[in-house]
This record gives sequence, C-alpha cells and structure tokens, in this order.
Amino acid sequence: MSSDRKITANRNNAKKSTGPRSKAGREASRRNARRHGLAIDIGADPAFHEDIEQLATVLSLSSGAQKVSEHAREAAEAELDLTRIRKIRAWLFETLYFADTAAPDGMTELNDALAKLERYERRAFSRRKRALRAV
Amino acid sequence: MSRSLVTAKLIKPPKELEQFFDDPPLVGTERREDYENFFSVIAMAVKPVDAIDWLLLIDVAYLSWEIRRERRIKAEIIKLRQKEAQFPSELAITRADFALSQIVAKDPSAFKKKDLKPKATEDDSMSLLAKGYIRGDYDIDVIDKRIASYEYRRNTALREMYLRSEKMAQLLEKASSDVIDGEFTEAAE
Repeated sequence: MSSDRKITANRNNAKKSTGPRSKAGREASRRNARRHGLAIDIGADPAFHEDIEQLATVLSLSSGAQKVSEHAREAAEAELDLTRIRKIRAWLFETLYFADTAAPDGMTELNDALAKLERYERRAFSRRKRALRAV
Repeated sequence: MSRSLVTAKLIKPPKELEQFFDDPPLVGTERREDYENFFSVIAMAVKPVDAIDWLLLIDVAYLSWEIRRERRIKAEIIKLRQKEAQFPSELAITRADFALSQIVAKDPSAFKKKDLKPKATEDDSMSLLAKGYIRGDYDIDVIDKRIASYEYRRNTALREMYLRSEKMAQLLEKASSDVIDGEFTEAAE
C-alpha cells in the first residue's frame, strides 16, 4: 500500500497534468474513445441492450435462476465485449496484413494495433470470469 | 488454409446461443468450413451441458484457432526472412531494408558486386534458419507474446471448466490441443 506522502505527491503531480491544452489537442483527445469504440462501456450502448438481455437470460436460466441476475448481465456484457474485440482483431488482420492494399510495414502497424486491443480483451475476459463464477 | 482440417459431423452451439456466435471472425484465406469442423471436433468430444459450458468451449476453440493462426504467420515470417538472408540482393521492403534500399538508390556503388551474389551455397540450412530468426526477431517476439497471452487465456478458460467439471475440462484440453498439434506435426513431417 502507498504511503500518505506518496499519495499526496501523486495527487499534486496529477493536478499539474491537465491534458491537452490546444484546441486541436483537445479535439483529438475527445475522439480517442471513439477510435474503435472499445473504451465505451458496452452496457451503455443502446445497440447492445437487447443482446445483453437475451444472453443474460440464457445464462440465468442455464444456472437455474428464476430471474436475470446482475451477475448474468455483467457476464453477458463481458462476453459480447469479447466478441466485439475479436471481430475488431480480425478486421485489423484483414486490413493491415492480408489485404492487397496492406502497406509493406503493415506488420508493425498490426502489431501496435493488436497490442492496444490486448488490454481491452484482458479486461473483458477477467470481468466475464468473475461474473460467470457468481452466476 | 487451403485444405480442410478435419471432417466431422457439424455441431453448433444451441439455438439460443448460436445467434451470438454464428459469425466466427476469420481472416485471410481461413475458411468457415475449417473453423466449423475444428469447432465440431471439440464440441463432439466435450458435449457441453449448459450455456456456461458452451461459452467456455467457444472461448477455448476460438483461442486455439488464434494460436494456430499466429503460429502460421510466425512460420511465414521465418520463411520470408530466411529467403531474404539467402538472397540479400532481393531487397524486400521491410523496416530495415527500406533504409538500405534508400542508400542504394542514392549511391548504387554502395554495394560491391560480391555482396549482391546469392549466398545460398555458403550457408547450410540451419544457419539460414538462424539468420531468418535473427532478421525477423522483432516480429517473432511480438507474435510469441501474443501467443503467450492467448495461451494464458485459454488456460484460464480451461481452469474455469475444471471448476465446473474436471472430466469435461480434460476432454476440452485434449480435443483442442490434438487438433492444433496434430496439424502442426503433420505439417512438419
């Protein structure tokens, strides 16, 4: 656990970082979460509501529950997140590596993009594991 | 992937789950038919009982497929880099070679004639293989890391299956490994 002194120092340092200052910088950072949409919580996206409820119902019924639990909903969200991430990964392979139009250094670009995706997949995977255990 | 992996009676997840997984994320020349066969072999061995079993099985199957894909790409990279090591005059446009090709474009005499000769006769296959690895070290390293992370997740899914049914987990592990390793052993022979 961090000491009080360390926590205070971290808070003070964090105050110094106010993010991008220029208009262009702010505009670019505003779009960060929308690059592939993975930073946006899938549960907050209305396009996925129906699927989440359906999958959560299947999971609840399968575990013998009478009604849909929050854990089942969370597991469904994480599962659909995983599916979404895997589709994005396939799309990256397709466009940056396999496509005829792929750049000669497409492998490097692909590696970078996949490394970023990895973070989201790891998170969704852990979330689903925890939720499934609790269903 | 030009040939079928295995032939099996097609098994799909139950209807209530199928809609979520009816479009496997395949790439390049991967064939849906191959994936479905691959999946069916695993599902037939495991015989999942409920939805959670199915989710874990889908995970293990998909991660095994990804591991197989990455191994293939890694093998292709090694082959490509081996060729580059064998015939350095055929400057492939890669990160390192791009800079080299720019130097040669500015000053063609930068390369002496003897450097442009194919070196195939000087090298035995093992040293060519080693050169291939050295030339592709960055990409190989990145792919190895990805394979390790897929394997980690695959093992985690298997562990979750163990908590539910030890027997089912053993079958799942064996079936998914058999399909991948079988194919790679066959390819190496």
